[in-house]
Amino acid sequence: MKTKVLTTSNLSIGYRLSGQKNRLVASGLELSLNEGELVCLIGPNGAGKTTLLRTLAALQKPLDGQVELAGKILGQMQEKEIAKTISLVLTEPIAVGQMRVEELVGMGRFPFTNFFDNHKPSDERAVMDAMRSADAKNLVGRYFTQLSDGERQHVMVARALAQEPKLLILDEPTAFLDLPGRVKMMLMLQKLAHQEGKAVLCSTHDLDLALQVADWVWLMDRSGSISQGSPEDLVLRGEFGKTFNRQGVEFDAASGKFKTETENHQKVILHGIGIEKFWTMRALIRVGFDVLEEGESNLPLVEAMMENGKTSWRLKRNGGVISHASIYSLVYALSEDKLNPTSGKAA
Amino acid sequence: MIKPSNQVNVSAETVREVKPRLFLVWMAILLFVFVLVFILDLSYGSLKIPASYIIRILSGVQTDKPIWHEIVLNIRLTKAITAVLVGSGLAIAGLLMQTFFRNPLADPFILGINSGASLGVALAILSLGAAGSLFLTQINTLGDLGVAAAAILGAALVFGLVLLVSRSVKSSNTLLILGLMFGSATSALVSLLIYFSIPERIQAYMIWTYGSFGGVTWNQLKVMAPVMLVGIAISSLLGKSLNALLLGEDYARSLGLNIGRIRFLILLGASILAGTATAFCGPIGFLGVAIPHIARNLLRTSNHKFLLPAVLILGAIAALLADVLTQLPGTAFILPINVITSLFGAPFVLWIILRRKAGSGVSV
Repeated sequence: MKTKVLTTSNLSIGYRLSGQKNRLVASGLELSLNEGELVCLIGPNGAGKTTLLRTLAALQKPLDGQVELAGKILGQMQEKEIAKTISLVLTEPIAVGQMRVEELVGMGRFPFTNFFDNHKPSDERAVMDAMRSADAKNLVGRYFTQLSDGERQHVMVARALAQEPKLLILDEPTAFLDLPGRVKMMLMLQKLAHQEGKAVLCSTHDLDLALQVADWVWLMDRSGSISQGSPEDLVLRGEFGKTFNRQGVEFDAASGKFKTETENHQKVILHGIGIEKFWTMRALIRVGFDVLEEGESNLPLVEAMMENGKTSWRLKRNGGVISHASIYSLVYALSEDKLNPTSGKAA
Repeated sequence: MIKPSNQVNVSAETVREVKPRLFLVWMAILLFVFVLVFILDLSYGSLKIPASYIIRILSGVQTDKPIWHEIVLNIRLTKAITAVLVGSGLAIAGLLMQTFFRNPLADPFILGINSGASLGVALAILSLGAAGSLFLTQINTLGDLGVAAAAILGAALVFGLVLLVSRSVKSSNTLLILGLMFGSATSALVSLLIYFSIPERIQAYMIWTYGSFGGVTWNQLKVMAPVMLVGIAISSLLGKSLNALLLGEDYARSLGLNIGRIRFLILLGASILAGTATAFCGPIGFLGVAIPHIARNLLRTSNHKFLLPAVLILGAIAALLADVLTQLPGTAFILPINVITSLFGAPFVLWIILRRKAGSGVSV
């Protein structure tokens, strides 16, 4: 049985405004975070993900209900006590002027060091361990401002780890990263949870990645209600569709990806094999065709085939056959047809 | 992109740290320069007194020039000590404000403390009634405790307001705007007072705004020095918290920092220093904004553990140097201190900043 690091009961989050009216973002939240698990918080922009993270991290007070952190009520804990249990990586970039990586990571020792911030050997070890865990050890000696976005994010995670937290909360840690950087970051968070036993909570817009690495997903919709479960359970229950579908975009449970709905679906038959067929299908779907394996003979037929070591695409329609040398040219011909159906028929 | 560790070039240069040893070397150099400039300030003036005499006079040894004892101990020493306190105090207050507001342009007066002081002094000098003429003669020596009292009252009033607002305001940027508004409101009031005042009083006020280390007597120093030392002490002990604040208030809080308490201590420290310095010496510009940048560039760090002591000594050195330069060579003519700090300081700071690598810019 995994230990619960954080639980909420009947938690309401939002903003206290002057006067009597509060801006309620979400209410009645019953959430928990286990050690050794990576939880991804997913939801559309404006759903209140950041508000939830800030409330759980004690950066803002709940409107109602309570958060229990390692057996204590969050609202009754001292700042230092909280700092030794939760650490953060926030979205806003920090602007330190001339600070070296190890100095910045060392600031994670703040709650543990004395008044003059002298680092004991145990502190130095914690800093080193944190940099190793966050893949930031190779950045030692460099100025933080001279790092790339990806490197900075790893340093910020290292800084958070130097706090030796039970719970690590990250607000969109992949926001400014390129694709390999995102994958690397999410895998690292998974490793921190599974191998080092941290409870990791991270909000993200990378649905694809979250589905692949998260142990548990909090899916927050615009009304502030949260459905939760393992990513696969949520897909099968159709929760992603409910949360994200809006005009023109729908969640495809078969692929686990979003696809754009195009209104005018024409059918096309595709023959071929291997990787050429796969990418041809992608292209046809992209421009809005329903791709069939077999169908009526009056439908356009695309054959992806190898000829003399080169791929070509044969398009059969209206009795004529035209060979295309690239997917672009094929798609171009088909789209023209689609925009201007009569001219296609006349040809 | 993250590079695999084996591709990263960890040359000897990139792993170099801000080592305490290097830091101690810098501090030793700065301390040495400080002593030199201090003696220079005592020996330089309309009457030049050799450094050997200065050292003997300071160590209490009788010399063949009793009048020099008088000059050094009663005039130049008070002036030099004032310069040290004000220079260090303003530089440290500037560092506090730049970090607090995370704004490299912030200076000790950004909260409007000196605007309050100016208004107090303007009210005292410009709007005085029939008794004014007697008062004016005293003003001219700039040694009057009444002016200091008026300035302190004005500064304390603004500080109280800032503190009151800071309790209910979440963002420190709101405080920044508040200070700005105080500044323009008070300068409007001062302009109004000037408009309706008489030339002699206007001149007395203008002289106050030029700033001076020379007007402080031993008796005033007995008040000023302890207050400045308290301000410097409060500020110097905030290093760890100031480092946390560099990350922003949210991160600082997540590190266990009590933001409310730190905010109060920073405002208190900076206000004591800026208010007291302005009250006794007039609004001394430039040191507060420039010295922290010089210190950051010299030590190549934003770490307050190292910046605070460096800023303390650099501030004193700069103020003493400025005071030396106010004395026009070969004449008895003394230039206003604010003219010197800006005239010589601006090109120096420009040089410091521009000689850095392109693109690295100015930061806190």
